[in-house]
Amino acid sequence: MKAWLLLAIPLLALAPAARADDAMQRAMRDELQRSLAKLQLDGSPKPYFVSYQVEQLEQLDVQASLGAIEVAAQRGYRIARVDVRIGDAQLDSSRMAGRQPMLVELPVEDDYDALRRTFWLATDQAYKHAVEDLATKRGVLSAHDEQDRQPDHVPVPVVHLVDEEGGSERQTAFDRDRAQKIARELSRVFADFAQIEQSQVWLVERHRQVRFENSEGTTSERSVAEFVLGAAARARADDGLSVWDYEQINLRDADRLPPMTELDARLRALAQRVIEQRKATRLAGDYTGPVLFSGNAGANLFAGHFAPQLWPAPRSYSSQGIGATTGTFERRAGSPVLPPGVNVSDDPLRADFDGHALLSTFRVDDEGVAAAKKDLIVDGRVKQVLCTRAPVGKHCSAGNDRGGVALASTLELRANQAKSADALRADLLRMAQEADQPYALEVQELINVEALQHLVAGGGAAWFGTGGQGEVVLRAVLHYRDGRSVPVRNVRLSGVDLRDFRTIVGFGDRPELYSRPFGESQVTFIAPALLFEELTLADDRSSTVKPPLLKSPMAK
Amino acid sequence: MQTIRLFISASLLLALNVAHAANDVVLDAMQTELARSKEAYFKAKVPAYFIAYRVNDDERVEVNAEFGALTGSTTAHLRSLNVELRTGNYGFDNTHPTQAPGGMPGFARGTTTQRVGIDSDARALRNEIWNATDGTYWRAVEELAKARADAAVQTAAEDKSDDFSREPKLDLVEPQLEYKLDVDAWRGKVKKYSAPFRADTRIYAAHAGVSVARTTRWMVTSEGSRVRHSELTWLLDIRAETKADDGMDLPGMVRFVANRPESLPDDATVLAAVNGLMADLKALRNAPVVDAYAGPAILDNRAAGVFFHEVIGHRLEGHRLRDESDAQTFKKKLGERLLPETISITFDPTRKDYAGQALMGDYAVDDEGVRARPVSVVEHGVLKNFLMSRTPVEGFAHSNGHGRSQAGFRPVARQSNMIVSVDSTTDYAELKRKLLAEIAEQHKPWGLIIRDLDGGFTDTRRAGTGGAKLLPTLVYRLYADGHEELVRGVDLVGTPLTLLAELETADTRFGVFHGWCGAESGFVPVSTVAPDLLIRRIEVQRKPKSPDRLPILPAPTEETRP
Repeated sequence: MKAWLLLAIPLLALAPAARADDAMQRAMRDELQRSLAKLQLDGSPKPYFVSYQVEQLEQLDVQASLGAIEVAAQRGYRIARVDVRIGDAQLDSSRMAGRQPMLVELPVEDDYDALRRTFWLATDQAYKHAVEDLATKRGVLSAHDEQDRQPDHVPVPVVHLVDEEGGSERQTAFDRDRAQKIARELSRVFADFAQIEQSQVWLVERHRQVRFENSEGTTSERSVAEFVLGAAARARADDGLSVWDYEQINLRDADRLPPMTELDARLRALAQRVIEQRKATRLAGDYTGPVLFSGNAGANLFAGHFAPQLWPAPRSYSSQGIGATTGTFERRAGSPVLPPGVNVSDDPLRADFDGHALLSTFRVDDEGVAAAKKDLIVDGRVKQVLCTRAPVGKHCSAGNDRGGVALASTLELRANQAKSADALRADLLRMAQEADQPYALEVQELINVEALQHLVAGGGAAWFGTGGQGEVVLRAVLHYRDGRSVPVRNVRLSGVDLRDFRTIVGFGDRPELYSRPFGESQVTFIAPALLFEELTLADDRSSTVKPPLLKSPMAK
Repeated sequence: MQTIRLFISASLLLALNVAHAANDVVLDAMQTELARSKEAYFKAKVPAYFIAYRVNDDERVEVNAEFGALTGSTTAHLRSLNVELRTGNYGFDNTHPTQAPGGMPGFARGTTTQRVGIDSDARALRNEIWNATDGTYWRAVEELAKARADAAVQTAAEDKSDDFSREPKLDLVEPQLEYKLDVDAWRGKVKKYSAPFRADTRIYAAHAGVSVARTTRWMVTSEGSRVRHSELTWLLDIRAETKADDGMDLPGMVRFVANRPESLPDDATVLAAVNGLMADLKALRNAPVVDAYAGPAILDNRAAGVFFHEVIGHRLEGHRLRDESDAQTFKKKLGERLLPETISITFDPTRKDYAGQALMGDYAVDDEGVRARPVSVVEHGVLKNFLMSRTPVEGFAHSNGHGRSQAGFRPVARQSNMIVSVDSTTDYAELKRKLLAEIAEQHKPWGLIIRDLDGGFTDTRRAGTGGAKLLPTLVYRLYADGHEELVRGVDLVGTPLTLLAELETADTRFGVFHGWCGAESGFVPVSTVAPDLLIRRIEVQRKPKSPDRLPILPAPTEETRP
């Protein structure tokens, strides 16, 4: 990893060309300068701000099942996001409801004339939209009061930054044959398990380069390489309900993949887990009581039910009025949202966790703002939220634009008072006893269905049996007061509320990692085990599919 | 989905070999699993009576450029499995059409589609088939119970035909076609073809793309049919768009279709077409806009082909004639005159080309395992037949090989190659003279000539407009003194019986139109071969207009020009 902060002073001057003959940079810069100087409709102002973000993506997707390749596809594109604003930073043409970002496909060749033509037409369109939008927005604001109005576009230092996380010199020559060989070999593992009805191995190799240039003089360039290897397996219990589980490894590149023998063993363990899960018991009814989220289930629950409050979307405007922000934390600075002694921070500069590279790392965000670590919740109270250059309330800072919206990078929850896993389980049982419950529930593995669907393409609802959304409990255990521990299956979370996080009564002493994509961006969540005072989980009765009439052809 | 749209496209070039597979792993796996499934599901408490497995393998390679620079090129290879399972019997099964509100239409029932491996791995494929069959069976059990209940409480259907026809089994295993696209060579060509558009700064989009698509289809049925066949389509597509001063978007397109690479045009031919397209777009920018008009017109042959496809073709698709939400325009018109006596129409999926031009609607066997055959639907102007899948209608108990579908859809009756023939000696000059005579007789200042178009669509629903719409791109006014004037901004609209009643005559100049036709069973390739047509009265209306002005700044190349 190399990262150079070349210049970080407020300066409206353009940097020298990064390459001897960089057609892309010349095309961006020439059209940007021309637009700023000359783009004007009669009676309307010229733009006060123009930016171009160019994303070049090369991606290889391979999926296999039982030793057969299902998908081997490579795609590549170059897309520009064009932002043209009129007005001024206090009140500009941005954030009109329903206005989609101006995205255009660019030639993949560095052909100055062809690139310039595309920027010209896209900038023209974006400017015309801006003219319409500013007039509409002014009309809305003349008819409606907007409390605590913030500027539309906050100033940030000009930077010239090249961030080679993953290496900008890295070429995108994916080894397709090797990827297919890996997928074939690993997916064949499941053929040895007749009770596995469905299985898939997926492999995604991606190289993404983002270049940014704006009329304030900022230029940035960022390259990220990602390699994801995952597998999922599904079986069916005797009552017809599906049980399944998955494994996933996120790496910078295929060269860092563990040996095939190790991967083979991990997938066999996965298959065994799923087969064992078939024999698990089911909840007799709803369970309401203390719940421990162990392993990375705590990080997963935090990711799905709490963290999105930390990156609220700003208000939007429409002829119907002024929309609300999507969160509540931006209005609750200083208010308690977690138990005392608990802190949450976001650190885009963090490169690894426990020796593993994080795919959520960046040094400059998608609107050219230098990234920095931020404390978001301190001692259980909200300090600030994450935002782009469009502020959300008074307590937020820019530098978190990922794909045009604010998003976390590596979000970590830490508690000052932490306990060992055994101590937490002891607390769990004690609480069940005090509540006169016959048993207490520990959730060992959760998965966000939408996140997995993003990867297990083509599996669809068949994988999830319940057609579920949000988080699905994959593995859970009932701890009886007599010391027995019994696996339980087909359990679902019932209505986890933001306020429940204030009732967390215990935190593990070992941070666990969970990573999932939001659009094209990976977010990492690090959190310990979490012990809740009271939550409700229910037996999942949403599917009553009968067992198959025929045995699997895989059955011996 | 009963609004039908015809998209035009052309196919492209390449080299093809023939590979004979001694053993076909895919077919063998399908048959093995079919035998197991018959044992289980034919003997179940609610027995299945028909099972079909279809595997579609779609490979596509394409190379694209815009304004002389490469844009994305893609390679895609997908294979899908479609399981069709019917419970009940041929007379009444789980696909029986009902009018239950919110119910699934019959064509959407009894079927499951999922992706399967592109490696021909028997074990993996059998597992996928097993998984999909069981889910389809349980749904078919539910669907049959629902269909029976609906039939019991609803008024009796007008058409009491069986739900599924009995057809002879077919054993047809064709060789797989091979292809090779020279990607590097085509990168250079598509750049060359799209580069001339740079010269016109008022052209805001310019694309050249080449693609080759190979589809291989396997099918086995519980009736004993076993089929494998493959198709190759080469397409070279040139598209550009300009904008008139009033903001109207003016698209234009040239497409070349071939079933082997040698049949694609050479550079000189393509570049001449590019120059022609540029000239048309430039002229269109300055052409006057036509307002709503009703009067005589000539539809040049390609437009005439789309006219017949939309106005007649979709209304001859058999399964619609038992759908009580469909207008069933021609159901009771068998034996009646629809067209002038000189005009006949045949759908011929066995025909591979016309006058040296490849056709896209050809196939040896349809997607229900019925051998393709020519079907004469209109003879000397009289309606004689319908296009039939295995969904019978009153008086038509059997398929005539037109059950077609895109991968993943259950087949219904669809069009193939529509061949319009005419007993005529009239040439184009004579047709224009007749148009001038009509103009004079109707006391019109001018008539219209529709030279080319983008496509069209039609609505066959009773609850819909019942209309068809054609989307012309090149329209001329023919004045009484014989001079022509290019105009812009109109679509042809009308209802079928009225439009057909106004059909006057045709000439002997034929043209081919290629397209992908979309309907209930997805998109299928079709072609039309038709002559120029004179219609006494058509109606045109204004096209939608973009609210976007011309670009504010001149093109960058114009500004830097000395």
